[in-house]
Amino acid sequence: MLKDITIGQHFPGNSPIHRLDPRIKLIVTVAYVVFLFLSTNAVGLALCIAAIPALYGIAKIPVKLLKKSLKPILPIILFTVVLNLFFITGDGAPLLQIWKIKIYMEGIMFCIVMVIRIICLISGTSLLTYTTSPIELTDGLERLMAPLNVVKFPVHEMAMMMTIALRFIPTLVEETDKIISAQKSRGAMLDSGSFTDRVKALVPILIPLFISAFRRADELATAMECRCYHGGKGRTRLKQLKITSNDIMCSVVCIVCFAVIFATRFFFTPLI
Amino acid sequence: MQEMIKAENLWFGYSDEKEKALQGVNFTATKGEFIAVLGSNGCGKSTLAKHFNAILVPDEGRVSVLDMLTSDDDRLFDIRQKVGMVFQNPDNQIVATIVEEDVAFALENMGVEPTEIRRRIDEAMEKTGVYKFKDKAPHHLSGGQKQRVAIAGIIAMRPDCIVLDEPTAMLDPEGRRKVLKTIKTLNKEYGITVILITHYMDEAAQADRIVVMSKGKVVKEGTPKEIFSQVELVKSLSLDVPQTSEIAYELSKLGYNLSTEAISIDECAQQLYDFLKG
Amino acid sequence: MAILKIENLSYTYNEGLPGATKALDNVNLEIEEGTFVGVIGHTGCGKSTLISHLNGLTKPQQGAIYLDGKNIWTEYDNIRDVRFNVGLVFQYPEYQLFEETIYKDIAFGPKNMGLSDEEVDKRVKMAAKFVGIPEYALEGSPFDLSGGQKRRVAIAGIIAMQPRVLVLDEPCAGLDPEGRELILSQVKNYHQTTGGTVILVSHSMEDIANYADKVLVMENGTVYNYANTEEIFQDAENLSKMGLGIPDITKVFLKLKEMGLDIDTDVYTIPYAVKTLLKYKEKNGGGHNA
Repeated sequence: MLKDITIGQHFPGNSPIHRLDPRIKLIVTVAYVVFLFLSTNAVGLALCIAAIPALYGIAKIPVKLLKKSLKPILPIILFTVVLNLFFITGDGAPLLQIWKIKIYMEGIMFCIVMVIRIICLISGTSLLTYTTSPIELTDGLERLMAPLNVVKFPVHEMAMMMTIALRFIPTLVEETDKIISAQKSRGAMLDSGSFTDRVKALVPILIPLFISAFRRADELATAMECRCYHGGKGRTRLKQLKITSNDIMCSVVCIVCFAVIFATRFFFTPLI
Repeated sequence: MQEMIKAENLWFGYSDEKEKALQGVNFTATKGEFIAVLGSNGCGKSTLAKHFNAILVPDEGRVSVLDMLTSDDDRLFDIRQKVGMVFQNPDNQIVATIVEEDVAFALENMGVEPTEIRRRIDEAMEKTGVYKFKDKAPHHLSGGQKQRVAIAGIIAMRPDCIVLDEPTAMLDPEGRRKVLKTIKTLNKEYGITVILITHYMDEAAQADRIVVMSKGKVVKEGTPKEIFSQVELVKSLSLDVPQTSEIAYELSKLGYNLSTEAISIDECAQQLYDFLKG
Repeated sequence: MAILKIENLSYTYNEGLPGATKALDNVNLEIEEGTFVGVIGHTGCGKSTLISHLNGLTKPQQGAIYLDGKNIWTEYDNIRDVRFNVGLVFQYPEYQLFEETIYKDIAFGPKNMGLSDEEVDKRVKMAAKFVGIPEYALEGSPFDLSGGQKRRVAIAGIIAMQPRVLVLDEPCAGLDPEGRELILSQVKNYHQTTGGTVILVSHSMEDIANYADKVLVMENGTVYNYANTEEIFQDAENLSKMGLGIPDITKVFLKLKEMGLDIDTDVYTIPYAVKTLLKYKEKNGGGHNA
């Protein structure tokens, strides 16, 4: 069951998007999210939506995957929809009134925009992780954040922590499955009983899991010391990041697209 | 012959334990040797191993690696580069999410140039037979494969000596066989000094020399033949002897004249053949 | 009647997806009550998948498991009743310990069964005795113990449920020879005293040879052979070819045969080897001496 999570997963490939420098992908993704929230008119939003299938097509990522990663956030979307639908009040008369609940046009519009934004947000950021290996991602982050070194922000340490976290997630997921099976074999009830029963049932799983995580951390630290690890100072890297013509071209295209999306603000009336 | 590692009158205790884990250990490894260290759990062999690359430093006595003292902080990284270490659980020593990145980890720490890193990790992955997995994620490999990746990560540093602390304990027979083969290749073909801590007597039997530890002390040293032929002594230290020695021992107890020194399958079979035909 | 019956059991991981792997392929097996069964096979031969079916941790995709002649998924009210009857000790079971005291940890299973306090107490003490933990030590923390002791506490946690079938997956992995010997002899003692069924999964042919009455050899998700230990070792040559680590002593006898001696090669323990050698010498050796 834990193995079904697809958010944050990497799907190796050789598309132009896969080959893009991770720094550019990171910046573009952040920019996309910003412009997504700046777009309040129909055309701007439509462009944001259109970008998703286009990019997935170029990256050759099956849309099936997208469905899978959207599934777990469905309850969140529903929750926001319901909340906004019932609590946003408009100027005109309500469209619909059931008992004390009034639904306004503004509410409906807001919900539509909200749902589009959430779906585009998840799809866009998922594309980043689908097409970028975790190591490239941390590499990109480390280099983008390098200027922060000046203010004594531990950039290398953060990146190292991320790498190790990414490395150990599959190991710990497997371990959790094993511990759950072991406790089930001793009659632990994990899928029935009252809420407090279920919380109590987590204890036999969490304690062994924490103990094992600490043990692993301890052993890993020794193993890293054995391999001359002494922080980021004087460290070189196997893979150097290099900006290629491909990267520059893509950046130009993205800048133009974002400019267009932003420009729509001045030509079309906002929906909300 | 040059001394690779020398421990003299080594004492060491953990702060939370009353009894000292190492009680006056003397140990020498000559360059190019393949040494197996045997002993039951808690005899101090892992503690001893951690002294060989300055993860631990002695309370009393001294340990030197190629004449560098492990207590000398200035030589710390030289020592760790010369003496690499591999541990029992392959999962807990792989740092990166891609095999080749992990093999490069030590070299990155040492500040080696990227082109040189590439050359050395390719070479290390070839030597340990993991080149074909170089783009894989570690969690997609079997235990034996992961352990060989860990060995490659050490070999990339071009150490003179590699210390392995029960590297095969968590592996299946297939993984064990391949890891041991890799270790032997490193020793025989590339002249790397190997110190192998193990519970498996068949692995120890392939070493040049066996060091037996008990309760923080070295109690016996010798070639595999010398050690395993003393069946009673080995058993009294709660260790096993290979079945090949044991059968000779059982037959000699019945009054037949057989040597417990025949520990390889071929030697043992030859001896039994002569015994049956004689 | 067989206590466990496995009928046409098949299981595929990632069914319907690319990278689907068949872990079990039409397995049929009957395990008689009171047998000590050794299970051996390569990593990935399906033995772990098989044992996780036995106590209902995995639901069969095809086929069925019967405990006492009743289908564990359709004829029991609750799958937990099956888990209490088929006690499964996982690999490295010491990593499942979580309670403050050894006593409480061993009591976790029996308590989940809903037994009275006296009964739980009785069972904890019985189980602790089997694995050699003295009663005065029970109030200590399991985390202060050595690796081998922790593992024995974890095994006691399963024994305390008094399962009719005790399944152990690689109980000796990573232990030194002494620890290995201790756990196996305790399991053997448990088997002899209670008359319960024991299923021991191991990579070590020597351990299986020394303890099991019957051996199940698995290959590629199928049953390669299931027979008495002696019969299994009559096939030693093929087992060796399959890459299963056969005991050194068996290898020596295979070598003797290769050297031209007409000798039985179903030898798997030292005492049996001594007997076979002496028998051979008596029969053939005399002639040479004369």
